[in-house]
Amino acid sequence: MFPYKEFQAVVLAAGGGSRMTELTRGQYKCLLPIGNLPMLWYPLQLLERVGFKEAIVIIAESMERNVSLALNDLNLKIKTDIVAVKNAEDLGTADSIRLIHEKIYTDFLVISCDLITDVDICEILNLYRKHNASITALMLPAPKVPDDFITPGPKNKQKPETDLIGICNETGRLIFLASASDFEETIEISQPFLKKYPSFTMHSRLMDSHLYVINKWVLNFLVQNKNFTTLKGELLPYIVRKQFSKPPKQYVDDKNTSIVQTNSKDAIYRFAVEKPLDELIRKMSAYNDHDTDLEDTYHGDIIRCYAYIGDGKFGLRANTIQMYHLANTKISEWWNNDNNEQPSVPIIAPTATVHSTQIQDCRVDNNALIEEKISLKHTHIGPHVTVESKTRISQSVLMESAIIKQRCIIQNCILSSGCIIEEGTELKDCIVGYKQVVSAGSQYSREVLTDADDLIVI
Amino acid sequence: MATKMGKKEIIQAVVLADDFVMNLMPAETIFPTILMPVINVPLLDYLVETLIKSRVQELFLYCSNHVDLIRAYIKQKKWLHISVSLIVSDACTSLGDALRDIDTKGSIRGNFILIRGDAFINANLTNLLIKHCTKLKEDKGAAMTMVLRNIGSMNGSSLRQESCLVVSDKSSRKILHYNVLRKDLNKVKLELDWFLNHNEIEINTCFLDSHVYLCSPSVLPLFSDNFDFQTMEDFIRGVLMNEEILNSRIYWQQLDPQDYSLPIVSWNAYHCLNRDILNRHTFPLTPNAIPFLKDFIYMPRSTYKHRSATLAKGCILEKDSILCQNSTLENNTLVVKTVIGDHCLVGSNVTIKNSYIFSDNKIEDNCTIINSVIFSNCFIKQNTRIDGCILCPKTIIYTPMEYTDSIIESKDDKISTKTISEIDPYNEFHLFKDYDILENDNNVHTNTDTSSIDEASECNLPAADDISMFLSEVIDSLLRGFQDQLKCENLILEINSSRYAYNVTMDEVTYNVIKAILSLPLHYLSEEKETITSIDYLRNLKHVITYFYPIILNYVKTENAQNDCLHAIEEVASTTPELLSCLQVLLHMFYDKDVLSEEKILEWYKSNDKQTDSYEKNKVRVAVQPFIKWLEEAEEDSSESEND
Repeated sequence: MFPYKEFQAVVLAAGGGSRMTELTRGQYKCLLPIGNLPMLWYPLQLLERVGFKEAIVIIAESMERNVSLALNDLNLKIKTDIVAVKNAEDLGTADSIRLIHEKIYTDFLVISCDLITDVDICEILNLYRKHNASITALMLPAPKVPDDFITPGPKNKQKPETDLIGICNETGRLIFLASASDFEETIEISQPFLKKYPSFTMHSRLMDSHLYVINKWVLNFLVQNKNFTTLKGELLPYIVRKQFSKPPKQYVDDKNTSIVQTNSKDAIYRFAVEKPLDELIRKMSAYNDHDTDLEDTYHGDIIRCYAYIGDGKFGLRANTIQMYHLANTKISEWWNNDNNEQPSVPIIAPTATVHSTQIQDCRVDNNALIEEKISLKHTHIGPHVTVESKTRISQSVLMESAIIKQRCIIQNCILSSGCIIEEGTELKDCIVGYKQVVSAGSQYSREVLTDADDLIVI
Repeated sequence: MATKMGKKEIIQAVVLADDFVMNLMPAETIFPTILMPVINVPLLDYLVETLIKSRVQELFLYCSNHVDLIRAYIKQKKWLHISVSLIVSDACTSLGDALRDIDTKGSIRGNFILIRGDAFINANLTNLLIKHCTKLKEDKGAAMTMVLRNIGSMNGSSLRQESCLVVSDKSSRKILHYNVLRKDLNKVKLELDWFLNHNEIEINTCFLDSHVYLCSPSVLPLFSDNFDFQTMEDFIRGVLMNEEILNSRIYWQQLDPQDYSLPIVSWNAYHCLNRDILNRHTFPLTPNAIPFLKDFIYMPRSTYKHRSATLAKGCILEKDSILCQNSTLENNTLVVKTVIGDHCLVGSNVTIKNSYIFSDNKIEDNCTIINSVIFSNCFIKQNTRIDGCILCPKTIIYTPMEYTDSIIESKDDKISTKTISEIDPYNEFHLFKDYDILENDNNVHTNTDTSSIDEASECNLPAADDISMFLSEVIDSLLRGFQDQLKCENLILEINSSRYAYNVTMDEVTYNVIKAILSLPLHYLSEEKETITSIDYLRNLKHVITYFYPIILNYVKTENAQNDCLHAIEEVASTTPELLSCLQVLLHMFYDKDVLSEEKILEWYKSNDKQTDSYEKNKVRVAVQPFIKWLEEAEEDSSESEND
């Protein structure tokens, strides 16, 4: 038997970073550095802080070696169980969970590797426990991008997706979840819905942070229903919607029925079953979650979704270039401010060689070499990076083994691993791809320098 | 315009004596809404009491109908702490007209409280007005603040008709959309832009408009400038639509939970209000707590009797009832949930339930009055039975008979009755019913409601939808194939391509194909317009199965597929009686053609055995019993012969 655990943790790190291909070509998304630490460190650290001893990390097969090496370097106390899945590119988040369902034997917490936040997960778990919820999700205020913040790369008119999140004012239940792009001009809401929830708030500036606490029965349901491919896009809205259905009067649990019959309307109630004791407790208790009508607690619903709103906390999902860069810019401010007792991100590694004296708000990682007469401002410098003299770098990210030659001016750029910037180059608001060589003396502004871009001859 | 509420500044209130609607038929023809008696006292008294308590010094009473009545009443009252001035206009027919008229008179100087004639409220209005003034400091365009009372979920409430939908910005409480929920519309449309332009939108259906509005001075010119604003709803809609042009905004405030307000918008609301007063929800506007309702003796279960009222031997005031000054109940009279006004004489052995008897009425012995309103100065002869009626003033009923659902009036010593359902074909006019009965009604409603939610949510379901689409596609293909005698291989190709189109798993394909084949004779026959009998069905089914044999064989190959096939048969058989009667022929046919194996059929039959509680499945089991018996015997025979 498994040792008793209340929750298991699953970190989803198999994603290929489809919304930031400029950076993920040749590099793994979950290992992209934020404040010189791989992205994956942040969710794991978050779990470790609330006392999780183990976490399952789902990664793509191709990244297995790199991820385990990287995790070894991080010295986390939390034990990681790395599970590699095949064809990760084609799999949705729900598919990945379904693949590893045998490892999950209790209620579990799903966190995405790109979530950077300082929310106390305990609060979310408490909300989950309090109501014995089906799913509890963390909603964070969408990060405010400062006006003067410029995302490296060409101008992007793409607007961020807006989630419409409806939360009942009285009970705090999550009752409506949809993307604004699903609607054209109007949203239709049925009268019975309004009757059941006479007062609710629709949030449009909240972001579903992709941190869910999920009941075991939902997993069982997910395993049976192979139609769901993603958690956020399909499973969660479905479960939220299902809160309004009523369980069938009497369900005959017949193990001989073939799978076809589970497609019938009430299939979810094969899984969502209230334990007789729970029901008894609910009926005997004086507790009620609402007091404006005479209905039972929770309106007698077995399926219940809740949302925890992390007000006043920072949080973002580094799944686009903009968010990734913003995370890098703000990380020192966020992470060091109130977490003094927590292991903070090291500023300058002991093995780094720094000759320059003009360093301001920078992080320099192991074995980096910074020569003399260099001005560095607000920049993260990865391991084995070489910066030669007479160079100015500001507001940038330099990933592992990047080499910057003399007399370069680099401003607000992301330089991927292994790239080489030749002498006298001036880069402003640019992204330089994996192992790219930027020729000497060139000048670029707001561009992406990668192989795919044929216009730029390198 | 001064917005600061100094101590010396006079607070003004405008009360419209009429509400210009005919919801309380026929009360409007008798007296203005403001003089509607609530527990034997006109509504105006309660309102003035609240205004005095809120230190409102100046009251403008705007009247257009029954002016003499109001004038006489005010003369008689002589309030001390408030100056009441009448504004009289005969030509006015709507709230908009009234406010335009008030604007031209120019007596309103600053922010004011606007109260419609049917309002009943016990909150401190000045405090509400001060809140409005603070809002006005933040937003110069704040024209009006509505006062809303949270009455919780409308489920099972007798005020359900009155519920409104309020969409507002959560932080500022600015109203974006306001309308009364229409019962006939199943869905409510909300603009996407509201959500995109505001961080948090609050959507409420738990609010009841108190008919008290806190207005900035700009409200009156707004009415004057827009001649099409007739009702308050027009005004709200107009301001919300042209927010930018008019530079005006409407906000809302919630009444404190301990405060009470309920406008008399219908007889139902009237009923509710009276009950709430007797149950003392409206404190301090309750008997013995206000000067004009005193000297009552409070008895158990919310019943009251005035000191001067007389109860004879054997009378029962059951609950939520009040008997006012100088009224008399004679022997063995039963009164339940009823208000009886002053100077009423009620005979013996009378039953009065859920009714309102205004002043100076005389009811003789052995009458029964249920769910009715009896205006003043009526006379009811003995042995009359009245249910769901409204008796106009001075109605005299001499002929004892039974009256139901009508408005009764006597003119020149004759009685004229109008049936309520005739006057009001749209059923907008609701005379109250007994609350308990109403509740039961509601329960029925909520049950149907939830089932409709189910359906609504189901149609959004991708999985189920796809499968039913797939099924109908398969039926179409097969029907066409059968009629045009297409080759089975081509049909298989067609089914397989639909399978990929709808992303259906293999077992579902088998299940649905069998289902389609079995229901095909029905579709075929209905297309030929024949009446369907079991014999027709069987004959056609045989044709169909022989024709589609290659298809069946193609899909029913494995043991699992056989299971699915059997489940499909069971499903169709339990819903179509035609198949049920020839089920064993079908099974025999499948068995003969080696589609289904003996073991599988027996296994299925036995698994079915356990579900004896399901009647439908039981039917199926009974129908196949002879065949199963034959099968078992055949098995025994064969095993015996093997043994030999």
